[in-house]
Amino acid sequence: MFALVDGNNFYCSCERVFNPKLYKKPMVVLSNNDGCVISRSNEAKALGIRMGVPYFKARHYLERKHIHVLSSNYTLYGDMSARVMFTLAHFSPEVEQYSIDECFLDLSHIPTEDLATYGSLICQTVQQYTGIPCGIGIGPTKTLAKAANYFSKKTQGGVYVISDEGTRVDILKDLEVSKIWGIGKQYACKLEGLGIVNAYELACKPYEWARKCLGGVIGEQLIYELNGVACLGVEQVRSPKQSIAATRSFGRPVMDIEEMTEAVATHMFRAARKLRQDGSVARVVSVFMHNSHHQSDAPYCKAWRTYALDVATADTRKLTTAVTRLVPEMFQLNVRYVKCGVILSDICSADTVQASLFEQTDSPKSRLLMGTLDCINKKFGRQTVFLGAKGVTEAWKMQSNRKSNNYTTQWNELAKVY
Amino acid sequence: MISMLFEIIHTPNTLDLMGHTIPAGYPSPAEDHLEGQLDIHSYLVRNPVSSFLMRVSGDSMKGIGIFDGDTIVVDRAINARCGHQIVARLQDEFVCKTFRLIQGKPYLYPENSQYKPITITSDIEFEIWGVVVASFRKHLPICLH
Repeated sequence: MFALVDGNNFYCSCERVFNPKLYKKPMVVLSNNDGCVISRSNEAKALGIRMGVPYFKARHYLERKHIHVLSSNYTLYGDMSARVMFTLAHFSPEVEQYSIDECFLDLSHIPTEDLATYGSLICQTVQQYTGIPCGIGIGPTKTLAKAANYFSKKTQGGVYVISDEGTRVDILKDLEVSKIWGIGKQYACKLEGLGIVNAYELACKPYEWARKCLGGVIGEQLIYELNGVACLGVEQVRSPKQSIAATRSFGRPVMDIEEMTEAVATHMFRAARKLRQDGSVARVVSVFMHNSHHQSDAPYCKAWRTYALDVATADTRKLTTAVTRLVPEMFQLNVRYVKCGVILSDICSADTVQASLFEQTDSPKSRLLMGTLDCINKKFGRQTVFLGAKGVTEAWKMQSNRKSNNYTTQWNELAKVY
Repeated sequence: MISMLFEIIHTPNTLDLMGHTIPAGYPSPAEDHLEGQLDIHSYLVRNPVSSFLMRVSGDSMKGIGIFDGDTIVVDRAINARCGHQIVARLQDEFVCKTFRLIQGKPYLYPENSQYKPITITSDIEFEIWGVVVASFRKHLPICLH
């Protein structure tokens, strides 16, 4: 049996742990750049705030209804996520973190009749240890566990177990196809067009049909999973990323080539750190920049360049030089750029990289320097030490006007008790 | 993030001199008896996952040596008992007080005669947040911390 545990309204819940003023109040958390709503408390949902609504559209309504608004604080959410995941690891020898607030657990070691109680214990423990309320769905496959989790939100106690055929059929009949794990918008439209409206109807389709119409083997596996036959196991180790992107929209439009170059260098700094965390090196760098789709007085303008290095590297300096050299070729005057980003690809393990005739792999000195850079930045805060190319003022940085304190990672931002 | 917490659990923040190789011309008689250095972090924090640091404001607890500006280690995993110092969510702020159960009723006691105990009635918004397991302060301020 598999369990899917996820935090309820995770970002809002994280904020509430450290701020009693938000307890049981309507509140939302905004995306990067205070762009749109990405988390809502139950009280805010009850007031009609939709997921993903742009902030500028909802602003007046939020103010009128006295709904608290916070900018996202990923430093805090990441730390709380780690605490939740470590707590969950106590309950199963096999856990797979699926996203910042979701985790699969293998519960085959728990007798069926004890699953509901065990699920309850898991939620209570996470709540006590971290303050984060969770829901848990349990079923014979990961897909069914995810479906059960969806229903756990509507259940008192937040636990839903699919342990018999009757429950499985009932729950699938109640589940719209668009809510099935693995069915995106396009497939949902296609299925509804074919008259398949709920998960039970989909589960009754023949496997060959699924192989033909639902994307091959993956589709067939989905049918098996909906019918209680496990095809997907709990993945233990996250494989190193095959491509790493670092992108961000600007706080205000950028029209200056130096600011653009600073931004590109900053993104590469982050991307290279992620690369080193994976123990990988990359050979291909790409950079892109574009203006807004929605400008009435100027056409959409996007530039994208790719450059392949001779030898794969994880050295921030080499990677940054490669992309910043591309910027003058792409940058156009009088364009109000709203976003830029870098992408690292052709990634392989640092152990297996090959040197070329003309260039060496990252020298031990380079690796030591990068290692020291990472250490200092980890201890004293991101970007304590950075490349000059990143710039110092960073006026283009995104807006984050209502960010809460880093309650768990900064000494001068701890929660106060009286 | 998980790897960072992993370090907290498995790699104490020791002043580890053993990692450095000091070239020496003789075998030290102490070699076989060396122990790990004292680790303040794991001394103060038993359950990293459920432990949080908070800052004390005010002198309501000075009677037992928790002073204004101190840092407290609060563990959510411990079930509060009568006599424990706790952090609680009281109305819309956090308080640090001594938790007492008198004839089954909960009270929050200060440790300073200038403050009054708080009776927890059902109409008051109250929840125990965690138990104070340790507190500390620096006598010579160093850098930003």
